[in-house]
Formats: sequence, C-alpha cells, structure tokens
Amino acid sequence: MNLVAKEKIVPVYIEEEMKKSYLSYSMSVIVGRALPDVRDGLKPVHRRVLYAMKELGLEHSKPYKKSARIVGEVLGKYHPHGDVAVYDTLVRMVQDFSLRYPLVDGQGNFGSIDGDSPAAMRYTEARMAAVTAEMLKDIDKETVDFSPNFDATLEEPDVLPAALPNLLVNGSSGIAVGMATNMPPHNLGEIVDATVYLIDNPEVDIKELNKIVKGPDFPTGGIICGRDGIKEAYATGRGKLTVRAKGSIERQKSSKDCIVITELPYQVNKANLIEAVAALVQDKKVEGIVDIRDESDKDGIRIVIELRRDVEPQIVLNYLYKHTQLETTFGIINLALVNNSPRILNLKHILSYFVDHRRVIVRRRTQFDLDRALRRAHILEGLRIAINAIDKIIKTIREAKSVPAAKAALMKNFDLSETQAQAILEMQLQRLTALERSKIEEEYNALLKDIDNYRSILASEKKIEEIIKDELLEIKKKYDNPRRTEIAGKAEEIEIEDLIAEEDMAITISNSGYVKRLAVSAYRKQKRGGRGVSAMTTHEEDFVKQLFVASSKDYLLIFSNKGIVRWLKVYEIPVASKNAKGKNIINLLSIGKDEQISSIVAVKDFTEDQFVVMATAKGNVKKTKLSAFSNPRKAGIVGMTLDKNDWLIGTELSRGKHEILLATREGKSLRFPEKNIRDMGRSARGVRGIRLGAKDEVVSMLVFPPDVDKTGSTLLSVTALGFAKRSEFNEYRLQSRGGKGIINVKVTDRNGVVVGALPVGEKDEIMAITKSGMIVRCSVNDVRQTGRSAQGVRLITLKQGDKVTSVANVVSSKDDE
Amino acid sequence: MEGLVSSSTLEALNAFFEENPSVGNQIVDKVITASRAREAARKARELTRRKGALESSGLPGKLADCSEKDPSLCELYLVEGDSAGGSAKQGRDRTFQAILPLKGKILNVEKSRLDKILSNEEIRTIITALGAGVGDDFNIEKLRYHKIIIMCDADVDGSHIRTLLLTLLYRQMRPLIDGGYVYIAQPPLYKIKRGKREEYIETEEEMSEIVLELGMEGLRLIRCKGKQRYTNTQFRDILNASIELQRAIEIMTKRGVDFQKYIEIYDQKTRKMPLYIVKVEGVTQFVYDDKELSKLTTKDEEAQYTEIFVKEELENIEGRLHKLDLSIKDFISETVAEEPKVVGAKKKSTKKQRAEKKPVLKAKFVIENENDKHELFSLQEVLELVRMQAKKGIQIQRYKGLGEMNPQQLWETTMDPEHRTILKVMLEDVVETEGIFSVLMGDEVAPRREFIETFAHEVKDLDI
Repeated sequence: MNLVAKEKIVPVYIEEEMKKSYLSYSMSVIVGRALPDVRDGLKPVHRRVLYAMKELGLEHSKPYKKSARIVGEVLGKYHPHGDVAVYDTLVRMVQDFSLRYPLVDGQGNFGSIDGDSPAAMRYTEARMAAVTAEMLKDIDKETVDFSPNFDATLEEPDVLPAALPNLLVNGSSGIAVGMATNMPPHNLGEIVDATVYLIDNPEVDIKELNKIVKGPDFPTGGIICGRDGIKEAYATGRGKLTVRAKGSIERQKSSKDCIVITELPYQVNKANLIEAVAALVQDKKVEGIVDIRDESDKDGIRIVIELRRDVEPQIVLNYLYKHTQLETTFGIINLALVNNSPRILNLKHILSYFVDHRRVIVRRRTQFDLDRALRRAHILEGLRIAINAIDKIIKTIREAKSVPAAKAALMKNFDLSETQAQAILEMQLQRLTALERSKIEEEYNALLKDIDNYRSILASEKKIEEIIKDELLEIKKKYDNPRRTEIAGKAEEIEIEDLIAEEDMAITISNSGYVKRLAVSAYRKQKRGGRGVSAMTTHEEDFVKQLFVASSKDYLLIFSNKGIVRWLKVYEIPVASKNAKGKNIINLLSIGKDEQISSIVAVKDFTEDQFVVMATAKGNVKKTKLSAFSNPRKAGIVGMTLDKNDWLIGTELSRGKHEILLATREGKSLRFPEKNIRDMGRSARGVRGIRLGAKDEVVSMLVFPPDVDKTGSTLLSVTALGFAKRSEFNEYRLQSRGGKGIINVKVTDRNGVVVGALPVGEKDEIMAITKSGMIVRCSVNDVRQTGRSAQGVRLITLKQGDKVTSVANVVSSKDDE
Repeated sequence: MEGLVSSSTLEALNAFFEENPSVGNQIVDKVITASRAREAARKARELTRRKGALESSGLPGKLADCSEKDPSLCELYLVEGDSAGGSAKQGRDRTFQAILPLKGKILNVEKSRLDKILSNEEIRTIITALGAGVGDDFNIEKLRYHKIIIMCDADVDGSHIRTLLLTLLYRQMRPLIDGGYVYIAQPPLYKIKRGKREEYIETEEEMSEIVLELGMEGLRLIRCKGKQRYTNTQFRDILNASIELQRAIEIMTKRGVDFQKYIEIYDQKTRKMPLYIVKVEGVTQFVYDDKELSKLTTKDEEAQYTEIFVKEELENIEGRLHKLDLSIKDFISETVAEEPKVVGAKKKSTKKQRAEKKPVLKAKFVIENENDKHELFSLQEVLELVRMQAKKGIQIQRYKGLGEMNPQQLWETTMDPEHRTILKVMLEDVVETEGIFSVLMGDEVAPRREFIETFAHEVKDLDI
C-alpha cells in the first residue's frame, strides 16, 4: 500500500477564518435567533412553535395535546436545535407572569413565579390561547411569504399576520451579539387606541402618543416610579424604569406592624426575593424584621414581613426597596428587526411598522378573497349558462365520445372556458331543481357584491385603514383587560437618609483624625460618678480632641488646610462601641495627598443667620454665611481662596456678634469684634485680620461671646519648649481688625514660640504632644493664672531637641449629666 | 517575645493602614494579583506534571486515544458535541487518529483570567490531551499530536465553537498556530443522490455548479429577439451571472433597496451603477458617488442614505452580460414592472398576471429540449427553470450536524486522509490577527458591534 495520499490541504489565514466564522455566527444570532421581528414581535422559535401548533390543529376550541408532541413537531419540521430550548419557549408563552397576554394555553404545571420548574413535557399539555388566533388569522390566505424550512421539504412563514400588536403588548428580550433587546409589555387597550390614533393622525408626535400609552404594563403588576424613563424610552428607544413591588403597611392592634407585599416587579423570582430579605436580616443589615412569611395562595401573592414594635415600617420598607429586588430597574432597549436588520425604535416607529404590516396583510388578504371570488364567479357564470340551456348542454354531452371531447364541444358551442366546462361536466343533476337554481343565482349575486367590495377596498387606502382600525378595536373589545401596573409620579428617590432614624449622636474626633459616633443614649446608660468611662480608645499618643452631639442627619463641614470644604453626614461616620478607636476620617473623604484636616464644624441647618469664620496662617480672616455651604459635592468645594504658602488654621461657627482673637507664633494677639468683618462670598480671600511680623504666623483663632470673662473662661497659650501660660480675657483689650495686636506671650529662647492658644475653663484638662510623640495631660488649674506678658510655667520637660507641636482641650470623658 | 512583637506590629500597621488607605489598597491589590498568578501557575504545573507522572492514564476519560506513539504521525480531532464524537470514534482509524469530544460551547479565554481558564473542565481536558502545557509553560516538544483538527458542525453554532477554539489555541498555545499544527476539518455540506450514485459536496459554490450542470442537461436557450441560439458555454455564463445577480439583489433587498427602481435609474450606456440611495424629504433618489451624496446630505441634514455595497459586483455582472448582448435589466420580466404594484402572493399572482398580459408582451427567451418548449420572460425565470430541472430525480440532503452522518460516511468524507480536504490554519499578519481577536472576542461591546455593522453585508448564507 504505497499510495500517495490524495489529501487536499488548503491554507486559510486565521484572521480570515475568525472573521468569516464569527460574522456568520453573529449575524445569524442577530437576524435569526435573538431578536424579534418588528411586525409580529416574535423570534423565529416562537413563530415556529405557534405555526406548528396551528398545523397540529391546536386552536383554542380544540382539546389539549401533549407538549412533547408540539416540541417534536417544531423540532422535526422547522427548528433543528435543542428540544429544551423549544420547550422552554413554549413554557414561557404559557406563563401568565411572563407574558402580559399569554399566547399558549397550558394544562398542567408550567412553573411558578417562585422559579419552580415546569413539569416535564411528557406531562404537560397545551393548545393555543384564544388571542393567538389573532396572531395567525388569515395566514392561509396568502397574506405572508413563506420560506422553505431547513431541509427544503416544508414551508414556514417568514412572519405571522399578527392582528395583535404583539411586540408591544407582550414585549421581548434577548441577547444577540454586540447588541441586545429588552422591551416591556404593554396594555392592549392603550396600544390599540394609540394605533388607531396614529392611523387617523399620521403626523402625531410621540408626546401625544405617550398620553394614550401611559407606560409599560407588566403582567405582575407593580409600580413604575417616575415618568421620565418612560418618556425617554418612547422618544428614543432607550430608557430606564424603576419598578417597585406594591407593598402596604398594615398597622396591627398589638402595635406590631407588618409590611405586606402583594405585587412584585416584573421578572422577579419570589422565592429568591424572600431569601434575599432573610439574608439581610441574618446579616443584621436591616434591623427590626421579626418574621417573613410567604402567604401566597390561589388568590395571589402575599408576602408578610412582620416588624418589631419599635421600628418605623416605612424605613424598613425603604431599605428593602433599596437593597432587594423589591425595586428593580428595567432598562428598555427597543431593538427589533426591520427588514431583517436590527434597529432601535421609538414608540411611533414600532406602531407605524405594525400598521404598515397590517396594511400589507389586509391588502393581500383582500386580493386573495378577490381572486377566489373571481374564480368562483367565473364558474357560476358557466353554470348559469348551462342551466339556462340545459337541454342543449345535455345533448352536446351525450353526443360526445369521451370526456375531453365533451369538454371541447362545450367550450366550442357555448363559448365556455375550460374550467367552466369542467365544472359543468362535474355538475350534479340535483342542481337542476328549482331551489338549487335560485341558489346559484343568489350566490352569484352575492359574489358580485363581494367582488365590488374587494375591489373598492383594494382601490382605497382609506378603506384598508378603516378595516385595520375595526379589527383592532374588535380585538380590544375581546381581549383587553385593565392595566395592572400602576404608574406613579416621580418617585421619591430613596436616599440613604430615608433609611435612617433621626437620633442624637455623640461624635468623637481624636487628634490624629479618628472619628466615630455613638448614640447619646448609649452614654446615658453609664453609671454616674467616679471617673466615668473613656469615650474612645485611642492610640497611645492620640487623644480625643472634639466631642459634640449632633443628630444623625446633621452635617459635618470638614475644612482642609487648603481651604476646601467637604461634607460628611453624621450617619456616614461609622458607629462604634465606646471602646473602639473608630475610623480615620481620611477613609471617609476623598482627600488630596498633601491635604490635612484643619477643622470640623457640625451643622444642623444651613441657616442665613449663622456664619462661618475662618482664619489663615498669614493672618487673613473671612466670614461667610453658613447657607453658602448648603450644596454638598462629593469632591468638596472651595471654602476660602488662599494665597500661595498660606493655609487655613481654624474655622468656627458664629452668630455674627461674637468676638475673635487671633494668636500668633511670635506671641502676638489681636482681639476684635466679629462685626469688623463683613460677610463675603464662599470663595473670597477674606480681609486682613492681623498685621504680622516678618516670620510670624497665626497659630490659633478663638471665637467667643463678648461676655466671655463672666463665664470664667481664660486664655491658655502653650509654647514650643513646653511652657504654658494662662491669662484672663479682659487682659486683651478690644482692638480693631488689621492692627499688629498686643503681646500674648513673651517669646524668649527659654520658652520658644507659641504653638497654640485656646479658651479653657477652670475644670478643663489640656493635652500637649511633642514632636517625638511625648504627651502630657494636665489640669488647667495647675497652670497658674498670670498677667498677659508673662512667660508662663513649665508644662512639660522636654528632651534635647524635642518640641511641643500641638495642644488641645481634652474633652472631658466624664458624663456630667 | 514573638507575641509582643507581632501584637505591637499589628497595632502599628493597623494604625498606618487606617490613616493611609491608599497604600493599604495598593498592597492588597498586589497580594491579590500575586495570589492569582500563583494559583494559575500551580494549575498549569499540575496539568503538565500529572501527565508525566501517570503516563497516559492521566489523560481525560473522554479522549479516545490512538495506538501510534509517534506524535508526528498522530492526529487529534476536537469534535463538537458528544453526538458527533461518537460517530467520529467509530469512524476513525484508531492507529493514528485520536478523538476528543467537547461538550457545548467552551469558555471564551479572551474574556477570562488564566486561573479561571484553568479551572474550566473542558479546557483542562484539551490541555491535558495535547500534553504540552499552557500559556508561558507551553512546550511544543511535548505535544502529543502534530495535527490538531477542529471538526465542527456546518451550522452557525459550529462556527461559533470554531472561533472559541481558535481563540484558546491562539491565546494560550500560540506555538501551535505558529508551527502550523492546527487544521480545520471540512465536512460536506450536501449529499446528492441521483439514482444509485451518491456524491458529497463540500462547498456552496460546488453545489450551485452541480445544480446548473444537472439542470442544463439537454436544454437549449434561445433568445426570441433574432432567434439567437446560445452555445452551452454561453448558456452557462448567463446562468452564472444570473446566480450572482440574484445574490446581489437579495443583499440589496435586505437593506431595503428596490431592485426594480434601481435598474430603472441605471444608465445602460455609461454602464455605471448608482452607489447610494438617498431619501431626501420623503423622495428617494439615487446617487452615483460620494460627491453627489455629500451635496445632498449637506442640503438636508436628515437625509437617510443606504450604500449599495454590491455596486461593483453589479457592474461586473453587467459587463459580462453585455458581452452576450444582454443586460441586468433582462433579469426581471417587464410585465411586473408595468403592473401597478399589487402585493399578492408571490408566485401565483405573478403567473396569473402574466397570463393576462400574454398577448401584449412577447417572451424574451425560449428553452427547449427534445419534446418540450418553454417561453420565458426573464433571466430569473430561466434560472428558476434550470433549477427546477436539476431537482428532478435527484435527492439533495443538506448536512447541518456531524451527527447526521453515519460513522462510515464521516470517515469517507471528512476523516480519511486519502480523500479528505482540510484547511491548514496559518498566521500571516500578527497585528491584524491580534486586532481581530480582541475586537471579536474581547470585553468591549462597542467595537464588536461596529465590526458587525461594517461587515454585515459580506455575510452570504444566513442560517436560521
């Protein structure tokens, strides 16, 4: 066997092969698998199932047949693919929660909204639904083109006559290659009205159509929130809808409230939904749900969510909307095949293509009827001739030798056509009775009328349109049912706020930026007396710098050294136990690399009568109405425009009648009334607060009421080399803004420059930190009160080269209540 | 001691990461990437090692291996679907042909990370069967077969699986493509049965060729005008041109261009065809080149236009017909053109209309054989008649799945090295190829969609 192989090896280039194969796959999927035709709203597999059912004689009035038989018929005759796919298609067309107007009437278990699978196809039975007759009506009248099936032994319709505007009423969804379609179902009555209106007013704009077609109408009901998405989808073919379950709150006498869900958004699996809610409860993501029961039964869906006594049901419901499929987004993409190429269509397009399709169908149907009537009339004419001259006819036939001869003789003698002659030869003798004769006459006259009618229809576009309208209205009368999906106005967007109960929170901020919050009530539970319990655990060299009480929905305005303001809602600060450190504020804000937090202000309302007072290191001060900060932006906004090499050192809230004191590094201070600064825009630079010496800079800004002295408050200053000094406020006389100020601390080589100044009460404690992380905490009492220009007392003994870097009032950890 | 160090380190690190989240995130990202890479490498090693350690018993159970050990003589068939895999196993020559049936559509490796690719059962099977590893560890020396033949159904899903397999081979086993080890099997598209004779047809072109051959047998084409009698070669040329024309018309119709109107506008003297159809203010116009088009579109911004992609083909066809003193206008009968457009059922009504008009219009062509004579009005009808003639007495079976064939047939037509045709996959333009793979198989949808839209008109046979 030494044969030379006759193998043919043909080279192909990989990119060519890829291109060719991929294109034929993708185009086939687009044109022949995943997308519906704009005319009948069916994908090929649906069309094949319906056509096969028609061929099997499964009209609505006929008995059911096993699904397996239908699937077999579809597979063997038209659809050479998997049986599972075909059965799934059939099943979907039965489900009244999948299709707004189911096209198939099923007998047996066809699955449920819980995602239970249907019974196997050997158990279930099916036949066409009543409305499906409208889809197939007149298909035998040559109304649509047929193409050969996969093995060219049979023919299948390219499109169904579809008197029902199926694409719109039942919707469609499918993923092709590089594109996908997702069309919601609609209410038949509305669509019919819109179509009729469009026929009468071809120039109608989409807005007007939108008045008739209110919006999608899902088989599962639910609520569509917001009309914008609908409008956009109708105008452009794309849009997003928010669909919510219908839920109500049932107040019980036992004061345990329930949330009752009776309708779900489209395509939401009930069992999965309940599981998801249960998971949220288990993970403690949502508080206050005691029990979830699925009380659905033969009368419909009913999910009961039982709540604890003390929770607000609306907040729980809002949370569930936000975090479960109780609210879903339906992204509309009206992609359908027009002349076999995919196009995104607006509402008017879809309706007009449907009307065009119907025009063709009606025309072709009428043409068919006309042809048939003409043929029949032709024969009847022959029969009339025969009856009128029956004796001659009989004679002619009797004289003929054979059938063809008889036919030829008839044609010749009576001027008949071949078909007429044939009909006469086939005529039964009973036709000759008087009654039958008049019947022929009647039929002939009726036919003539019909023919006139058909001709006039074909001649007039107007008449065709009337027919389309009549048929549509007839369909509406027969099959319309009330809208199920409610369309609510612009839904209240659920903000996180709606999920949060208003509650007073104690917020602690440490010196190095750790924040946390804790309900004030948690503090109250502590015992009084003693030293109290620490409010926050901190790192060794850290301490609590600020503690304030604010409501959970208040804002924190966070100012950076660069003058940028960012917002933080109190509830955005993590809740942590009293012993926890909390989170660093950097993690909560989008903060620049070389930016630092300079100061934090808590705000409840952005009122007009409050001001934000700011000071920079170079001595500028500025006052801006608090209301100017009321529009939060994630990235922050400019709170004050700063010069180069300048930075923000402090921010305080005031009511406009306070006094301000600026303390500088070199020991100067200037006290002036707040009124001296006029209020300015948010991004203004401000005005000179204090005239500084060459190397001097402002280290602290203090804002206090004019009667500060009476409160027993004193001004404490700390210097770099560990000295502290305390003087009464009335030692600092009120000056006017912009001056050089007076001495606050006498800065010498012994005590070093001022690092900070702050108002303190007699019982306060202060804390100072050094560069090397040493920390000292001492009572204000320990610092003797002195005159203004004193050098102060030693607060901390520093190692060689170490320096105090900052000082702060320690927030008393004791609860004074 | 250790406890102290670790607890204080932990505390310090905790604080550091808390205060410097960006550094923390970067470290975590790095760790995740490294772990993925480790995992992928481990799997890859495992796949190669397992084969070496356990010899052939480590091979996937689904693989029907061959008895020959020399890789240069061995062939591996990657077969789509279990149903075809079975017949391939029965039909093969077990001495040198191995069969690996693949189930369903394999993973698209372009869209997945290596560790996910290696977790995929189907792909692991392929890797193990080939025995040469995967990705960077691929070692062509260890390849167990020097011919890897992809055998898919001749339907669109088959095409898809072919692209997925090629992506796997190209992206993860590139030396296979570079070295020309990859082939594509060519199962026949049709079987023609004529009396007792059976013939397999591999391509569409061959098929239409044969159909014409059979259809023309014993027929003569005569043109009524001048009683010109065409020779067989001329007849053949006319038919070929008509077939191409018909295909072009189909493409045009799909894009919503009315051929009837198109040829009315066509100027027979210049033999130039319009390139665009433009709809300006509801009026349809034909335009011959880009210049005119831009003129129209600037005038009316809402003008919609359709390019006639088949223009050149049409001109070519016209040129060939012209040599035979015909034109593409002869392709459709004039009767239909004069009739007010009645949308009736396609065939019957046209026949009927023609019957009514018969006395007015003269037939253009006559086709005759020994005992019959047909009068015809257009080339379209000539073509139809020839096709009808061809189908008489022959049985055509279109193969869609490999499973439709008996094992013996599969061997004869597709697998037998003596008779088969196979396509050898070659790599020429690496840049182009890279681009094609990332556009067609990659993550981004937009370029794919664009690609499809650009080339949509090139698709000839749609299979639904």
